[in-house]
Amino acid sequence: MAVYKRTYTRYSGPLTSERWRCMIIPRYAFQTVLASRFYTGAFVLALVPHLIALLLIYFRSHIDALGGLGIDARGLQIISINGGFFINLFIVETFVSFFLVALLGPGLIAPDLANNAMPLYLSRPFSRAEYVIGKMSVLLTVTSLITWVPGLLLFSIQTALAGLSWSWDNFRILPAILLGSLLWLLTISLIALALSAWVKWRPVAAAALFGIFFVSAGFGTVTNALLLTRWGTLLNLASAMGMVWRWLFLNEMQYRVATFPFETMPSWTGLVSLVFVCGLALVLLAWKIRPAQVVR
Amino acid sequence: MQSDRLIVFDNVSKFYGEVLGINRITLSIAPGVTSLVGPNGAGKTTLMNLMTGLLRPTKGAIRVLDIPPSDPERFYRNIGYCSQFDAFPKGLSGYHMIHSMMSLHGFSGSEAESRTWNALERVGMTDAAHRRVAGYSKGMRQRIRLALALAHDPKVLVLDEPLNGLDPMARAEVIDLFRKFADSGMHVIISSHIMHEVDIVSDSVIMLSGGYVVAEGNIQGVRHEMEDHPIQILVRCDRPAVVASNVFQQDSVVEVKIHTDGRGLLVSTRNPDQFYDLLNRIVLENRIAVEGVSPADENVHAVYQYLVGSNGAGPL
Amino acid sequence: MNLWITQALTVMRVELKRYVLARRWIGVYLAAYAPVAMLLFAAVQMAARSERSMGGRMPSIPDLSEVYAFFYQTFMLRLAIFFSCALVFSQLFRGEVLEKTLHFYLLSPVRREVIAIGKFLAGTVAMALIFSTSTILTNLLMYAAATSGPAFFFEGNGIPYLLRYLIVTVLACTAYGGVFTLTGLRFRNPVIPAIIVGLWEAFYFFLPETLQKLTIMHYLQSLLPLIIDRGPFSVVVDASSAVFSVLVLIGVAALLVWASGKLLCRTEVTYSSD
Repeated sequence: MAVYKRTYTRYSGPLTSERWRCMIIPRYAFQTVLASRFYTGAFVLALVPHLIALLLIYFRSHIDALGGLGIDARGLQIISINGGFFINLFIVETFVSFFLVALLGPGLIAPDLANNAMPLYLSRPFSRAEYVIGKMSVLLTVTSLITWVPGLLLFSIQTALAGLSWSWDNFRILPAILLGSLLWLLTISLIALALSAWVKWRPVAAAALFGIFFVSAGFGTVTNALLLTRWGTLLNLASAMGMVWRWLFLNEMQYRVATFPFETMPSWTGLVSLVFVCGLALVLLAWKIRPAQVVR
Repeated sequence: MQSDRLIVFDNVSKFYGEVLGINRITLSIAPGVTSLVGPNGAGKTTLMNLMTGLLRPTKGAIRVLDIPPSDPERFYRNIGYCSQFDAFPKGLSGYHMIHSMMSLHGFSGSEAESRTWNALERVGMTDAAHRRVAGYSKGMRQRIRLALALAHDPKVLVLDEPLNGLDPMARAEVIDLFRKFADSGMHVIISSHIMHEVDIVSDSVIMLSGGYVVAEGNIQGVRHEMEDHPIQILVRCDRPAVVASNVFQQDSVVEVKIHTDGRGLLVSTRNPDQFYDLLNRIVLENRIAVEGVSPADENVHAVYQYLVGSNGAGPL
Repeated sequence: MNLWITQALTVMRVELKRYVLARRWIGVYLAAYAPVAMLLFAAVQMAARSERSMGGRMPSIPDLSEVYAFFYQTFMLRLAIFFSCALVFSQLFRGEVLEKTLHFYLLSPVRREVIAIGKFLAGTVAMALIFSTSTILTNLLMYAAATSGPAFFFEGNGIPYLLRYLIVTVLACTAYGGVFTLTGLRFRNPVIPAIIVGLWEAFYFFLPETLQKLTIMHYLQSLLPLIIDRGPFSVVVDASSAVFSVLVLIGVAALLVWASGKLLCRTEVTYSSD
């Protein structure tokens, strides 16, 4: 082909690292999140349980000092800062982080699919896995900042106040905070992204997330009641995570089902249930996130 | 003309919040092919959506064949709209899409079926009728939208960029179809960016810019009313220099450019009729061999450039 | 009037074709038929077990009726039907706006109120069919293993109970359908009103008597054959009469659908982003 003036030249400068290129995606998502006062408010509210825990930890170790100020805080002596204390905190954070994911998650993939933006992403040197990782990093980052990050800080503060012997006696708490939080955040993030990819409409994806959470819990309860079994508990995501929390924090290998006090079930089944749900979510994401759909 | 044969906009304005869609538009559109021309954001789609009742005017009133949009049962029997929205309900084939709409129009099962196949035949989609719309190419989806607009034999056909996605053969067929509709007394309202096709098919033009109507009517009539833009006439002859030296006898001739090939000249004149008389005299007196005389800018593209174009330059 | 009825039924027929076996409603089918699968499994299990292995006795008809009442009121009514109606009805119009297909209906020679009625009817018929079959199957399967099950149905209260559950199912789909048809049209994000309505309905038994009578659940409960115990903090209110309850539920649905029709008349097709 004859070309009159060859002025076009390809870019020959340095390229960004391929490993971190997927972080382009959360950059703009974070801008949206931080620009919204509603999301910022929800994020701040999500830290309230940790603030309350911090106050309890502080006052618990300063009962005498409070007494010196004329405040009778001897009632706080019934609170023990141990695995039980942290498990209660993280059970609350299980629900709080779920609500935050329900707010942020559905809007991550649904608009891209609804507005046919997937070919734009995937026609670049950018894989589907990188796309999902990029989107998930938004949820994981925001929820980590309200779960295991402040949790580890609380552990450090308690160690500082109670001494190294306390942390030695309660060494399980540290990995429990990290591993348990990451497992739960991964599970709910994958579910949120999978629903966002499937439903393509943000409000309905959020409703579907709530639906799955509550309807499956209700179905699990009903299953237990009708089949006189305990295995319906595994359908309740919060209960399954509760099993994992108790296993990690308290080393309880058997979980006692509330409706069947004389029956137990192995705590590792909760982990299996969550991993199964993660697998289903990944399958749905792999099915839905495609640059083009062939319809016959 | 009687109002039941017109599409009437009576001082219509449409604002989207603070954003202007169209402002103070008064039109009476007669039967025939009328083209809406204008740059992106001029208000063409807004005008069409108002005409078809999908939008309500902020001010003013609209009547189509003397029926207001607030009477949908009569209004939509007479209107067919081929919109720009390239979306269809999921899971339906082209046939089912049209058949469902015919059912909604109140046609019986057999009538709906017959109309569906007629419409599909007109747009050349009978072979692919039972395939799902999601599997159609862009041009096929455009044809189905066209078929949807035609199937109930409306009196007014409103088409938003109807030639988009069609191959050249299909374009020619569809243009021919529009001409036949217009010749049978229908209103055919088209918006298009393809100026030469607008020139071929249109009886009249409505030119929009920034939400306002800047010109309306037969394109030659519009052109002749534009006194601040002299008419440009191309004369192809053997001795253009001789013609050029003589045309300035008339004050109405403002500019002459000799063509680079030396076989013609472009004359800008404010009074084309006077110029033609002068040209006849010059040709006879000087025995000039004339190959052709034609207006160079009596077309939609030129008018568009003058009225809407950014630098107001003419076509050459 | 005949024309409007014909048109509404045509809209309903066109819409129903989109609902039946639609992949997007898989959650609804799961919510409706997962209990059927579970009860089928339970019935097969119970049939295979002897009385000795069940601790000495098979569950009695009153026990099974209590269990079914608990299942129906806790899961079917409050969760499955409620969330499914929220999912389906809120997308009747908002879903069309999102998919940019609403203009097809608005360009047809049908009054917009009639379009609203037709779409609502389609949603109600679909939901009522799905959950009625689920109610029938779960009810039958619940008593399947009981030796006096057939006697309970053909000589006892089995069929009247089942009919009452069916009526409640249909009326729940109708009433909640009306609520979510309107919220789907009125709000860009219908999740928040759905959550508010959900909490209001789910915890209605904590409300004082006057406020309980402003909930759909109160009238649905008034029609049920058995009411489960809501605990010591619930406010017990006398059930409304059956006829009054039916009229209120249908009236509320009709009013909400009328309001939806009026709202649709003012709807413009701009398809701006969500």
